[in-house]
Amino acid sequence: MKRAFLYILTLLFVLSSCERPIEYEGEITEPKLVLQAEVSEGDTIVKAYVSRSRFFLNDSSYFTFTDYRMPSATVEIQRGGQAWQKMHTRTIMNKGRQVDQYFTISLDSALRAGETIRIRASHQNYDTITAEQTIVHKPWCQVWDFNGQANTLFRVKNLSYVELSLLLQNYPYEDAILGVSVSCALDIRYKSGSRMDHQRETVTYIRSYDQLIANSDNTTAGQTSIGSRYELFFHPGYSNAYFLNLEIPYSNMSYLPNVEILDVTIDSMTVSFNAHSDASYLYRRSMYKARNDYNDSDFDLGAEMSDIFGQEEDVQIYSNVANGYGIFAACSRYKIVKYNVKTVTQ
Amino acid sequence: MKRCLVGILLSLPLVLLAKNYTINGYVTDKQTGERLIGAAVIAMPTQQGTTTNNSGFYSLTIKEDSVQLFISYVGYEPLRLEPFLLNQDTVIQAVLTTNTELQEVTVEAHSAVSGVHAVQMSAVEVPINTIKGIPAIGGEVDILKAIQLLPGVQSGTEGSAGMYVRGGGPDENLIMLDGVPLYSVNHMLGFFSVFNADAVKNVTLYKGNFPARYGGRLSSIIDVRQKDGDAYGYHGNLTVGLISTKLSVEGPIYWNKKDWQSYKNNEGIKGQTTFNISARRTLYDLFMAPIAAAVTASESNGQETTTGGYYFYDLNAKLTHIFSENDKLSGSLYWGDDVVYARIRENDLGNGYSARMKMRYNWGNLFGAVNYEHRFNGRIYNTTQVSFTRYKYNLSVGMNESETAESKTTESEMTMRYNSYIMDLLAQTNFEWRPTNKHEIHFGANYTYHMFRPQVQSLSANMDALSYDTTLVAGQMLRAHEANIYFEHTYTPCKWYRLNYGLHAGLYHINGKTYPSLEPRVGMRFLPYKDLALKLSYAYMSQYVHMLSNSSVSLPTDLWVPVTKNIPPMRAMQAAVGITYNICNQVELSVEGYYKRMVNLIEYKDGASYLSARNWEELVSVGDGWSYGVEMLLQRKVGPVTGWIGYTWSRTMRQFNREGQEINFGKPFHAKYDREHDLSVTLQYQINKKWEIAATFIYGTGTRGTLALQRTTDYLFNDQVNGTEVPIIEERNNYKMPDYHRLDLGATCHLHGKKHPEFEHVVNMSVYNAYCNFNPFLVYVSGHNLYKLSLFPIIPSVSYTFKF
Repeated sequence: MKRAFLYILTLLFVLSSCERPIEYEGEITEPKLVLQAEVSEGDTIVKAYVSRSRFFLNDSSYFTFTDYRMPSATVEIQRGGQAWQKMHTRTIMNKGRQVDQYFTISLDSALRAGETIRIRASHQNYDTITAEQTIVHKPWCQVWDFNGQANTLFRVKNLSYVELSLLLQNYPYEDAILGVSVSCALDIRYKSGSRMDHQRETVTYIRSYDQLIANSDNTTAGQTSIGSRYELFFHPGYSNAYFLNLEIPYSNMSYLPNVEILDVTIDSMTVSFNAHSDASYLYRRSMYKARNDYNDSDFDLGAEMSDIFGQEEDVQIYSNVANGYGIFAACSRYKIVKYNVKTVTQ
Repeated sequence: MKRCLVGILLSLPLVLLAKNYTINGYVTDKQTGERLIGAAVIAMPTQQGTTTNNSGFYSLTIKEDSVQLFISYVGYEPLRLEPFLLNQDTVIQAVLTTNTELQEVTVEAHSAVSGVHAVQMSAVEVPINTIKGIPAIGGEVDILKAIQLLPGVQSGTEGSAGMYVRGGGPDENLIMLDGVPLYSVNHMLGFFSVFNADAVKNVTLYKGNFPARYGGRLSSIIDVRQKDGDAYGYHGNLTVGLISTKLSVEGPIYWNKKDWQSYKNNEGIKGQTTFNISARRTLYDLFMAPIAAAVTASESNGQETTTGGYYFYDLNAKLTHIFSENDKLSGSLYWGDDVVYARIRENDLGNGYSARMKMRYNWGNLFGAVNYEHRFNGRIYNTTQVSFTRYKYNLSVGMNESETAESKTTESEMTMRYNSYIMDLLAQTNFEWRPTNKHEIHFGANYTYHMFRPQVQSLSANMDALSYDTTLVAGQMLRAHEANIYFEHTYTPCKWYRLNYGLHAGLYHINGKTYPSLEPRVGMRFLPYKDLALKLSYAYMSQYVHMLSNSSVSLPTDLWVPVTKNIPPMRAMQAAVGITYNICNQVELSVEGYYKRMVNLIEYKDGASYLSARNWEELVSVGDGWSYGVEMLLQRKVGPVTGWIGYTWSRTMRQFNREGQEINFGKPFHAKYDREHDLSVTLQYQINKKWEIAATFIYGTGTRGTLALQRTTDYLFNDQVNGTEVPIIEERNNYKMPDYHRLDLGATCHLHGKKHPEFEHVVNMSVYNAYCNFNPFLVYVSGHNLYKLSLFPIIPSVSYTFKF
């Protein structure tokens, strides 16, 4: 209703508007190579995608997917100060259709924390692009429940969210930005009228009101998301033991009439602690902001009106690739997976 | 030769012993008694001169001699008084008669004290009659739109009243009405300003070389003064136009029967108390609301009735009482709002359910001021004022529901409110002292108590026998104290050199943090030839408030926030050099170059499209900016054709590279309103006493926007921004929108009826955007194409004014 009201306001002011196409008279930029790769401590295989960009008025339709990957590019990798090694192209086919294509290389030894990796890609029609990352340490954390009992991780609270408590101990590494993400498979048993049924869902959204989670947008962000995976980030400089409480909300199925949730079983939960390099974090954060993927539960009139007039500042997606676009990220993960943990009856 | 030398030597003691005496008084309009601001007063034969101040007061200190005064003002017949021997302090009240045919001698006199000869540069006084003659959108004369036609002042997008002065943002302009700052000066999203031209007496714009008495903003000062009111009789205007209807009434208030009888006998008794009231309101909603209600009721077979609309209104009022020639008291009031409302009623057609919903959204200004002026003697004048100013916006949404089932009726109601405001309480005192004609001194002090109340959301509900009333969000009230003192001295040691220097010093205290400022100002004028002046100036300014707005239109939710511990005051340094040349007393040419450096500017970070008052500091970055350019103004004030040509070439850049606050990766980028070329031509032609025509042509290179010129696909994380694409922006504001240009035409006809010749009928016809150029308001990408959204095609309009 509020949005409709604001649209009335907008229409009242637009006396007679007119939309028409115009010629683009600005700078015409040439496409560049795009590198996308991520490396972690302990990896023995490195994978990289190389494609090309396109001018915004050319080529692909806005709504269809067109493959701009460059299998004919030359991609090389260098560890420390050693010789450059060429990466090989690999194509994945499924039922006669290409489903994936990338460059890959098997390493003689696993990647070590603190090691510097360089990648470069070249093609006869484009400038050579290069990028560099230092492998970040894989983080370590132990999870405890809020009652101080290990292995009793999760509690379903008020039949609306799962409470996850973590004891973070002695995270000593200051070379990375720490984040946590969760994937939780739930089995929700409910009653709607006289009918009983259950619903399975996988939840990846987490939230926290804890002071430990960064909520300033200066150097770290409270939240980002990649694809459907949400991630919360800690304040920089965190290093001491601290109980962290996260909430994983799930559907309350209010779209069903007279619904009553009976109990919830956590089939499996994966908690991932992720150490990001600055580049990895900045790329994720800029992609998140570019999608404007905020979860603002309060009605903010200024936001609504600014949104209507389409006057947001556009986001510059972060890139650490010289002479090109894309991202070469270092992100090391530590995962904890639990199965069939608990069933709670309300 | 010897005798001559002896004569000179003998007379020297007499010269040295010659005393100085002061001539002072007021310059007023003969017809209305209105005191005139900026009138030129020249003493012949010495040609020493001055101009009247904001109270219409002048003071000249001259050596004992035979003196003849010459007084002039644009739009009035020049007055040449009889010569007299000045041998004591003398009070002379000058009364000028209206004469729209400007004479050369007026221009010459004016240029002796202003224009070429004034030390003040980067200042323009725009006569209100000129403003009223400029063709306007919908026929709605607008002061700020007229100011946008001056060089160095750029408008925002189509129709916007935002002003970007020498690279500064729209919140860097101190806009005052009778000395009181206004925070939001726009109606209708910025398409019109809050100033009703019928209530205004004088408008002065300072773009640089700011006098030390002004402070608090970086880029410009716009000083608007309201009329006191006709002291001799009752007059008024009633204007009906496409946008609004206006009524102005002014006149004297007689406190005794004798004066009232004299007035009725047309004996021209001047009232000591005068009033001036102007009101304005749009009428569109009054016509549309019942039509909308009838249409919706008809379409829903009586089930639902919807009304709604938008309107704005202004009320300007001023009451002035003159106790004596030495004392004057006045009170000013402004009250204006924009209102959007909607009412939806769902009627019970036998199903037992009915509902009513009301929405009201209003935003606007309220200010009040009491001003006391006192003349101590012929050389010292004081103005003291206490005032308040408030800007607020409110949104109220209420719903009532009634449901009847099985003979039982349940009712529920809910109201949500959302509001915010900023309010200042001010006190100031200003002194003008002219000890001799070579020295003019201003000094004074002011104090402001600021209250910033960011958003408050509250909810009250009454349903199913439960009721609650709660505040959902309450932003912290912020209180700040601001105190300033200033000193300013204009020294004219000789005819060819004049110096003005001053200091504006201030303290701003908020949340336990105090920000001091020392702002030096200096200006110099050299006169190598009588009609050619070279001017230099330097000014340092501070600003303690920001307006957070991310839109090109003026939104009511544009929020004023104070500096904080994390967000320091903005500062600016501006240097300018220019020449002013009077061409044959017909045309004045001024060319100025300036350089301006700004620090602690704030700008939204990437992806920040709005603000929440609770965390706005986290959504902005602090950085720097600089702007430089050359302005040219060619102005003609004499003859049947008057007007000006203004041209500006300028560049405006920003850089945000402080750690953790980078925008555009810390590299410099063009400001959004970096318009390289800006040309305005405005002409008015008085054909005869009945007809006048006007034309305005505007050309400007396009404003800046951000365009992602390259696109990629995310294969690694399979994440996208728009559909299947990831846009790549290499530089903020990298795209220049199409150029803006339009032509406005206007014609005005003045008629007097035969039966009642004292009444005047004025018909104004205008065409906005006469050749229908679709100027861009927005540019966006859709698919493979670039589109522009334009707002205004050709818009003819007509208005009728009845003057009594």
